[in-house]
Amino acid sequence: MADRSFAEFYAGEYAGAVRLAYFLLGSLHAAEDLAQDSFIAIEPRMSRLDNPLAYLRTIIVNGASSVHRKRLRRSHAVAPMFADRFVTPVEAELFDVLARLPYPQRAALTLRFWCDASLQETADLMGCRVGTVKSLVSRGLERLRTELKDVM
Amino acid sequence: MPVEALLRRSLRDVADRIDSQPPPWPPGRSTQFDDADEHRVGIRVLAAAGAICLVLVAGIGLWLIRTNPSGSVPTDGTPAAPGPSWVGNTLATTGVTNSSIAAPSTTVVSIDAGSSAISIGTLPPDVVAERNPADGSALLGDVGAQFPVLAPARVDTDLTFDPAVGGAPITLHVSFDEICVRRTAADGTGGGACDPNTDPHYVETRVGGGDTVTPVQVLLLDSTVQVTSVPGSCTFSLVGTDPANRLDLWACTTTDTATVEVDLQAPGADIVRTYIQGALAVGPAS
Repeated sequence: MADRSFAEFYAGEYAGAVRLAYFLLGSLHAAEDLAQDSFIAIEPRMSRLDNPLAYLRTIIVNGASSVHRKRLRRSHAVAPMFADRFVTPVEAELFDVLARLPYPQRAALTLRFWCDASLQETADLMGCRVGTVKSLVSRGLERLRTELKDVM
Repeated sequence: MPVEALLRRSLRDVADRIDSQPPPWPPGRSTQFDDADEHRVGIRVLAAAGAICLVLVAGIGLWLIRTNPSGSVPTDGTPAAPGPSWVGNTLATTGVTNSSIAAPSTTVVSIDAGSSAISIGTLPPDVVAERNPADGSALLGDVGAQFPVLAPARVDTDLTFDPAVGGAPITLHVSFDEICVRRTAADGTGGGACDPNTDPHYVETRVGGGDTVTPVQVLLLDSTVQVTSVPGSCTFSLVGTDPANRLDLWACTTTDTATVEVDLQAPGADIVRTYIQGALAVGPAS
């Protein structure tokens, strides 16, 4: 794939990449960093990729997972998630629950309900089995349902 | 409103508010990058390389001084006293080391409570990877790590698998089917496959199998062992009180090549990260 194609891909998918990373990390600054790193990683391999968007999302999901693991090790230094201006007070409660979900559950919910990925696509992106995705989504929704029952 | 609809709508609304414009590509490079800039970059690279060389020479010199403080060279034919191994030396000075060990070797890490003394050794491989006849997945067996815990000590491990097949880009497919932690009794019993029916010292978490939704299970049979698990990574915390306790990690993966990343931390010590990487000799399903 020529450079121009990558430029088009970059221009067309950057915003989506940042948004996906934002939902996984809860910080716009960290999301933009991760999106940039992901595009840098994908550029030299672009010509060999059949589905660059799926590859980009895989890099973001796994990159966010790495960030999450580092946060766990330095839990005292973690900034609050979704504290940006993008989340209104009405949505704050939902995103607060989302932020407290285990990372795999948050990733599965984001891929399913924002990227509209199928169970199989979500499993491919997360590198796990469809059954695992079903379990993650089910448990994530149940947690949201339980903690937001007064809101809904 | 169903929670699914609420979640979908909220994600969409928040996403619409994020108006992040792509910065110019390639990142970090000015469009005015001319020959003068290139020259300056070249000078900086040379300066950095020179600084690295100086640090290396100084480090080697200090190491030589430490291993042979008198500076004398044995002349009677006796070999010089061995200096510290690179592992020990690294740990003694920084507390952090990396080591690459070809599977299916077994790494032994012992942590002595109350001090930062951590040693890493290698056991000869005694278990090879084999294929699980049930579903054809590769069983890593002893390609995990055994941690003799000199109690009271705390071991935090972070276990991930990164398949990198045939030089393809590492996509960090973090996946495993089963992780179990098993305490080996003081008399050495408790080996073999994890089996809750036969092994009384047995802790296992399952995170799925096929299309069967299997919640994470924690079979906690010893109050001193706490295990949490999520797909793709595991965090184990073990507080042992018996010096004979040993923490064994077992993992199954469907990939033929895997990287096992283990982070260990003793009280008051830095994290020691150990990589065990290699292509597994996986035989056909029996």
